[in-house]
Amino acid sequence: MDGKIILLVEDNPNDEALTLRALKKNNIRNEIIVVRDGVEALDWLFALGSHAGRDTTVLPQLVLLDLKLPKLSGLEVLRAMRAHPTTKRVPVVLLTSSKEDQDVFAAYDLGANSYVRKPVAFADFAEAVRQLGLYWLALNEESPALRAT
Amino acid sequence: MKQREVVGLWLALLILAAVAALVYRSIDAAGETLGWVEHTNAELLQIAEVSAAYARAASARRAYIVAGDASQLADAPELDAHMVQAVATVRASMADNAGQVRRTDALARLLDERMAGLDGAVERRRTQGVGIEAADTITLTARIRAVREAMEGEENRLLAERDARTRSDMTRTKIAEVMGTLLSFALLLFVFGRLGGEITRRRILEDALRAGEGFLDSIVENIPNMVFVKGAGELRFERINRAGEELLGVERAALLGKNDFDLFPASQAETFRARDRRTLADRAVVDIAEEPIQTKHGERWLHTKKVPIFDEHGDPRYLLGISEDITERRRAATQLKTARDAAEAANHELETFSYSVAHDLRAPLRAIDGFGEALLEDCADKLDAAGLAHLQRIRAAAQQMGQLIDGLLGLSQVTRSEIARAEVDLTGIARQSGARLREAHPQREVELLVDDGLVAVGDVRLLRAVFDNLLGNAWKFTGKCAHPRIEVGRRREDGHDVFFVRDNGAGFEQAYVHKLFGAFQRLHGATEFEGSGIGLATVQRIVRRHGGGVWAEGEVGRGAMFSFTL
Repeated sequence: MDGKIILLVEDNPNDEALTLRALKKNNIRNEIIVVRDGVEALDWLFALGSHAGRDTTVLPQLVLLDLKLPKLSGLEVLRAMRAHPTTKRVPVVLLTSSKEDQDVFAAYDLGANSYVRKPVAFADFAEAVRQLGLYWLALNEESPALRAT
Repeated sequence: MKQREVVGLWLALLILAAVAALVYRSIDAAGETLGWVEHTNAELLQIAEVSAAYARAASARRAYIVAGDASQLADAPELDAHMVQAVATVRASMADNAGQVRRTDALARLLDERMAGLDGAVERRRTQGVGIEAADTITLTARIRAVREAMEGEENRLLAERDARTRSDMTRTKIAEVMGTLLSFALLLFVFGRLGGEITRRRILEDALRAGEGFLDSIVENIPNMVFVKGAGELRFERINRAGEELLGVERAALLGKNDFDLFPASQAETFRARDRRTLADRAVVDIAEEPIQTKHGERWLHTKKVPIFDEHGDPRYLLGISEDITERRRAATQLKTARDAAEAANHELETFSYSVAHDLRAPLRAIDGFGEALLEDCADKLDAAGLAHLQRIRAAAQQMGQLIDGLLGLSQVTRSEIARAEVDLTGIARQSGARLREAHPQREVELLVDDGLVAVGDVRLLRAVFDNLLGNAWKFTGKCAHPRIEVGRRREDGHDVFFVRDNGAGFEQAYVHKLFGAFQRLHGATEFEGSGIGLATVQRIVRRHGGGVWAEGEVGRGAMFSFTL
């Protein structure tokens, strides 16, 4: 473990299991934190609520964010992250079923780094996850703020 | 009157004046001739008088010479004086004719000579008792007669000459008079003819004008909008048409002479009057798009135009109003807006629904496929061949359903999205689409020929979907072909650009062509060629939204050609 954390925000247990499986299949062995709604995601990021007391200097290397979430939607989580100085540069990949234009545009407007539509076929999904992991975890030069932690 | 008639009239008057002058001169000349005749007759009389005086003076002497009668000799001097006097009178009255004067003088000399001869004979009778006249007496007498006759002849000749001249003058005058009169008569006829035409024309115009007024009246009366006229001063109604009576629910008789305050609630009357005044003051047409008016049938809404009408001095004289009853249209517009709002709300609901479908239906499918694969990978050894085959079918079905959902969403997206028109490089789009297909199916070898310079005006995103679908189809249906070939090009038909995608693949039976473009309609079994049956429905919807059409020609085993216009 090199301490690079992936935060997976996903309310659907099936999708969660499949995502974890796909990551594992692609030999992405980072620690994966799973939260199941938008509020919990922000609680974890800012050490609030049930995650109070967490070391907020530990930030995820990548956030995989579902769009449609209970309580707070993925876009609202993204907006809150981008508005906060500690999380504004954390790479966020929206991982969703929707490919509605309005969602894609809104996500990029709010500062999403990527927007990936979950394919139905698992093979395609696994391939998408592999590419994401390759890019965001292995190749991408993390921002200085993140490296400092 | 026109220029020509005026000239004609003046000419006729001038000719008549000339004829009158000519006639006057002619009459004058005739009078002069009469004077001359009188004058000549008087002269002839004077000449006769001379002859008589001569005869008397001579016979007084010859009575003594021949018969010795001396009783008359005493009168001789007096008779001589009388004769001389008569000659002098003749000479005076003929002073203007040198020839006659000469003849008169000659006559006077001959008379003197004759008297002297007679006096000599008297003397001889008295002294010698012989009463014989001198030998030259006969000659002298003849000469006297000759001179007298010459004088009379001259007078008569002059008279005849003047008479003839006067007669010819009279003839010319007559001709001129007749010609002039005829000419002026003709001119007058012409002028009056023209004037008559003019008068007829004027009468026709007046009739037409009257008819036109009636015509306008009947138009104004039957126009379906209210038309009214108010006097500019007190803004009282001076005229209103039938539509106005019906709209306001007031008889014409009860309305004319009234102002707005007599007819409408005070606040409305105030508004109307203010607008009327402004129209007249600004001297400009005022257009009131919407205004309520309280009528006998309740409140109505009007679209009104107010028009100032000016008199010949440019002062406002009337206010013309034309009002259209837009109550029903307004009501319809409100209803339409309600309906449109409802439709928009429904549409929005549909979008939300589509969104849910996308998200919620695809998630379980992912689970079916994903865990199916997990089952295959983790528990393959626990399943026999039949179990594995069932599992594959489950996964294939889940994936197909995923495609169907995607197709439906795409179709609804095409219907909902706005068309952003711009010039689109279709050649580029088709080549990109082909490149994607090559990338997705690297094992296929397909010859793709795209003509250069294909451009059209349309929505680039939607047109891309058209080529993705048509090329995707062609790609798919040439899958069992030895030398697959796809052509993209353009031809001209009836002045329109027709774009086409042609392949040499499986083709289809022309009899089923009508089923091609329906959603979920497939002409091939799923085992033969996979597909959702949504692609061509999407193409048709896009093309129709561009105002064009799409059609297909095909032959089983020979290929298909899809053509479309935009």
